[in-house]
Amino acid sequence: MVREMEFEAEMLAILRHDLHKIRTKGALKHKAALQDELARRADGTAAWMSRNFLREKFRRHLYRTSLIFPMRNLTNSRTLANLHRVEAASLFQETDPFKLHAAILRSKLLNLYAEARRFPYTSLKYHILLTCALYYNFKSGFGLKDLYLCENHPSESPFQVIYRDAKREWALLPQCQSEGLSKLYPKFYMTWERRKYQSIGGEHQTFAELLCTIGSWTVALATLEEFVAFLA
Amino acid sequence: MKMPHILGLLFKFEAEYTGSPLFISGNALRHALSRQVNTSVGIFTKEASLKMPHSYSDFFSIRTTKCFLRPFYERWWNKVRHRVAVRCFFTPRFVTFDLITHLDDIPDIIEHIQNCELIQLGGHRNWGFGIVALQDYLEIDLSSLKFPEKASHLTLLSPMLFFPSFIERYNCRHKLVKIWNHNHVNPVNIIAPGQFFRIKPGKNIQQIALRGILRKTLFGQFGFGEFVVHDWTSNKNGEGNGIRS
Repeated sequence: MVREMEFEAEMLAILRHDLHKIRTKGALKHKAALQDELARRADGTAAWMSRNFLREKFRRHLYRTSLIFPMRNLTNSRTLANLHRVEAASLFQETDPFKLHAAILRSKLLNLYAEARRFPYTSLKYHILLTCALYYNFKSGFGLKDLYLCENHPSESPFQVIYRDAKREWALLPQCQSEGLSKLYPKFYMTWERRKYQSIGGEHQTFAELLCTIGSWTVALATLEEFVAFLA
Repeated sequence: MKMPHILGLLFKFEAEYTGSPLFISGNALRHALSRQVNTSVGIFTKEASLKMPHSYSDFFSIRTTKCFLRPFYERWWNKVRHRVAVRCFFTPRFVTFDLITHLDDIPDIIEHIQNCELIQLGGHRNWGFGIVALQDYLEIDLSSLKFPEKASHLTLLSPMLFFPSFIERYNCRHKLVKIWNHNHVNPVNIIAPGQFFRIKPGKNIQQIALRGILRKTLFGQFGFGEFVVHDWTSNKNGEGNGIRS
């Protein structure tokens, strides 16, 4: 019972560790947000896999620049920013980590925020999910080299899921060489080029080839989510 | 043995481009020039000029570096299929092709390209997409290039039709593409590029590396069968030929 509660507290800390990037009231600072050494390692690895693509000048606003909707402009509206902040803060009020993870996975709001302001295309939502999946696998004793990207494969825990839409659910699972879609590499295009079957094909082959040129994991996952929304 | 010469061509885009953001097929250049040249696939790049390669990894530096093309997506009404469809264009800067030629033909090809009124690559050409102009060219003598002596794997840079005999097969990803040939569309099942294969032990690596550059395979004149060899066994000790990805 105590171990379960500890696990839930750790997962809550992981899921809430980037609240300072939305600037919610009472958010912990970056240095204070993660106390655990392993959690810091997972956060650093996820940031490393995300911040390797399209570095630009430091921007003051928190919002992500989209590859699919480049004309979207969220920067000017102060009321909208306040609205988003309040909404995101109420999302993170949830104290059950399973429910909070599911809410983040569903959330469209968190995908509007950038993860790092020098990398305006990265997504905060997928950074949180990636950190969570990496932390869970590191805690089970697996390293980066043991992890595989699996599509629609039953996972041990919901915390391993990094992407979900109507057709596909992607999870980072250890030791799934035969069942997995591809091996995990620090650059997204390395993983995507070496996939075993075509997850996206048909008339959207151009989009699948576009993913072959995107290095960052969070940019690729956010772009995929936006492309699905664009088709609907 | 007399080595064939390689003519590197660098084209600058003067219009938007639609089509695959990975590469342009060699068949597109053959049709654009109306000339049956032995060409590689066209790789997008940011480099505004070609540089003389001094080593094997140098030769593949442009072709293994990923160039991101920014997409511009829009929805439109497809009148034929009567539904909403999606289309997109890209704004690449440069694209580079490698032609395998004899030394005597090079001035002739360059003159032909410079005299071409309009060269267009990619899709939607009747709407004015994909106009290119020659930016730079470079003659490369392969006999001055030093090939690696040790290698464990090879990575495909362009599609391939059949497994060559010197690699170990596995159940890799295949893809259906269409090759356009004078009003005939031929569907072809290719081995998708970007995947890597283990080279069988005891093979002549220098010969295999040369074969990857010269594309000695079926449809090599369209750019099929280009690959780069890596030494991933010795990379652990800090050695290797320095090619990543």
